[in-house]
Amino acid sequence: MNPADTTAKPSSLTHAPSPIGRGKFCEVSLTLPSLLWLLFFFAVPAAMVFAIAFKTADSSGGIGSSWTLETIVEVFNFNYARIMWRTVWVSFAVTAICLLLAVPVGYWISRQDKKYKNWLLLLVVIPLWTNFLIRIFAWRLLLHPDGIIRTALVSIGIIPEDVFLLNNMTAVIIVSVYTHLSFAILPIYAASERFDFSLLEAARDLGAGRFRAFCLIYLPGIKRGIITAFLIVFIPALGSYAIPDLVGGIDCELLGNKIAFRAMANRNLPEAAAISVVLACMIAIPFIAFVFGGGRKRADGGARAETEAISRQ
Amino acid sequence: MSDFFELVNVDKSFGEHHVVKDVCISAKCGEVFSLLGPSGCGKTTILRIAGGFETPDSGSVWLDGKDVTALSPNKRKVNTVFQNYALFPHMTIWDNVAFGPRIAGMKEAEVKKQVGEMLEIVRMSAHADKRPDQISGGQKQRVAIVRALINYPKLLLLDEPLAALDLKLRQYMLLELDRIHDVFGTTFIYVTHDQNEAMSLSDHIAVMNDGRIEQVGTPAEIYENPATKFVASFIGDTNLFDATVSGIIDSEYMRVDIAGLGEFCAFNEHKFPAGSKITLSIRPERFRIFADKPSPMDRQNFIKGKIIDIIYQGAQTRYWVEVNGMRINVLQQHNRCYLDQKQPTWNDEIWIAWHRDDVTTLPKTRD
Repeated sequence: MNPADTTAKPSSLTHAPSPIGRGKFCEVSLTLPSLLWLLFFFAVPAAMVFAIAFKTADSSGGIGSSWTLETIVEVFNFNYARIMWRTVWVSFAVTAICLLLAVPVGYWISRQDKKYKNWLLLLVVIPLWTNFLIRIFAWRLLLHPDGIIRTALVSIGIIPEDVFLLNNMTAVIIVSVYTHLSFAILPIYAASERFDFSLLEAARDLGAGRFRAFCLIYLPGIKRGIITAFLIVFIPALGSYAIPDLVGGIDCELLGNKIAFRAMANRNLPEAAAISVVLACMIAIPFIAFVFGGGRKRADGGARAETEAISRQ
Repeated sequence: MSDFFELVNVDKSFGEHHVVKDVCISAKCGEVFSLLGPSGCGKTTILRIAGGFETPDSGSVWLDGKDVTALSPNKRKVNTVFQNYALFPHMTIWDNVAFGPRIAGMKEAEVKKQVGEMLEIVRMSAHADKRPDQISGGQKQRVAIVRALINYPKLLLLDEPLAALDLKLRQYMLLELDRIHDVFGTTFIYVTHDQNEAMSLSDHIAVMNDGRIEQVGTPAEIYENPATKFVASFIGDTNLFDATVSGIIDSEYMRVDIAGLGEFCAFNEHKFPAGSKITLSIRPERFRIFADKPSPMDRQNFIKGKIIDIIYQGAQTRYWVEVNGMRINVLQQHNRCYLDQKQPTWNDEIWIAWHRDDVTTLPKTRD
C-alpha cells in the first residue's frame, strides 16, 4: 500500500456515503426486538381474534371448522346497538370528567415549588400500588347504602333518601373516573411542565383576563397532553368490564361485559371475537381518520405524539 | 408634558430579598427612558411592577395622571416586549399580532387592516403565515414589538429586548428600535444591562445598583458627570483614585493629594472644603502619552510611568501604565499615520498628562 492510499483512507471514511447503509442496519437491529414483540404478541393475536370472528362455534365451546358471516351480523342487532351506544357515552362521560379534573390538578402541580412536586406526583401514583380489584371493592364499601359517603350526603341533605350510589350507572362512572384519573393527570402534568408560563403573562399583558388567557393560550399549549390523556382514558374505558360488573347494576352492562360473558360463561369464542372486532373498529376507524386526516396538516410531531400514545395502550 | 409615567417611593421584597428600595423615577411622554444596571439590581422587577405583574409592597405607580398601582396587567394601557419574546407558539405571526385587537373586541375587518399595516412597518408581511419557531430571533423581536404596539399602549416596556441576539443583529435592531420609536412616538421604558444600548437609544437613563437608583440623567450627563463611584465605573471605563482635598486654589479649583501619586490640580465641582476625603474618576481617553517630560502646560497635570501592557484595538490602543505600583488605564485614539510613527512599547518610561477639568470628583459616601 503506498502512502497516498493511507492518507486517502481516513478522508474516504469520514465522507463516504456508506453511513446511510450502516445507519439503516443499526436502525433495523435496534428496532427489531420491539418489532418482533409487537408482531408475536400484538399483530398475530389480533389477526387471530379477527379470524375467529368469522368462524362457526362448535357445541363443546371450541371453534368450528367452517367460515360464516352470521356472528358479525348478529353483533349489529338492536340489543347490541343499545349496549354499544351506552358504552360510548359512558366512556365519553368518564373521559370528560377525568379531563375536567386532571387539567386543573396538572396545572396546579406544575406551578408548585420543586420541593413539593415529586411528593404531589407520588400522591397521584400511590393508588396504583394497590390492586385494581381491591380498590373497586373498597369503593363498594364507600358507596354502599349504609356506607360512609351516602349516609353523610343524606344526613346533610345533599341527596334525598331514595337516591342510591351503588349498583347503578353513577357508581360505574364514579369508580371509572377514580381508576383512570391518575393516568389522565400524568400526561397533562408532563405537558404543563414543558409549558412556558410567561406566555400567560404575555396574554394578560395584551388584555386577556385570567380565564381567557387560560383557554386561549394554556389549553392549546398543553394540547398534546390533553390528547394523550383523552386516549389513555377513553380507550380502556371503552373496553372496561370489571367496574360495571362489580359496582354496576341492571342496565349497566357494557360491551366489555358482553365479551367476557361470551368468552367465559357462554364459551362462544366466535361471538366474543366478533364483538371485540367491532369494538376495535369503533376505536380504530375514527382514530386512523384523525391521525391521517388531521395529522397531515401539521408539519411537527403532533401526529407522532398521538401514535405514541396509542402504542402505549 | 412632564411626568407622564411615575414611580413614587416604590419598595418591593421577595421573602428575605429586598430587591427594590424606595425607587422614584419619572419619564416624560414620548421619551425613551432606560433602566440600566447589572443583573440582579432590581430593574426587571421595576418593569414587572410597571406592567402590573407585581404589586409593590409600598409606593405607587402613576400613568398619565392616574394611579394604576392596583390595576391588573390586562386593565393597563401598558404593553410589554418580553425578554424571550413570549410569542404564542401555536399561532401564526399574523394571529400573534392580531391577539390584542381581537381580545379588545375589534371588528375582524379592522383587525385585518391594522395587522397588515403593523407587519408592513416591521417588514414582516411576507412571514405572516409562519409560526414563531419558523422565523429568526431578530424577526421574532420585531413581531413581539408590533404585537405590543398594535394596542397603542401609553407605555411600552422592553425587557432586555436585544439580549438574545448576536452583535451584528443587535446593532441593526438598535437602529430599528429607534425607527419604530420615531414612527409611533410611544413612551418606551427600556431595561438593559448594556450601557451601549442604553446610551444609543435613551433620552434619560436611570442607573440602578442593588435595588436603588444611583443616578438619573441624559446619557451625556451620566457619562461625563457620574454622581457615584458605581455609576463612574459601570458606565464606560474609568480610573478611580482615593484622594484628599489638600488645598483650595480659587473658587473653581482645588489641590488634591492622591494616595501614592502625589499632589495635583482638579476642578472642584462640588465645592469640597479642604480635608475632604473624595474619590476621583479620570476616563482613560482623557490621558495623553508623552515620550519625554512635557514642558509645563496650561492647566495640565502630568506624572511619569512605565508601560506594562498594550492592547491594540484597531481604532485605538489601550495602555496599562504603572505609576508607583498603581495601574492606570490609558486609551489613545489612533491618528492617520499610526504605522509611520514610533509607538510606545512595553517597559517604556513615558509621561502621562491630563487636564485639571478632566477629573470628576465624587464624595466618598457609597461604593
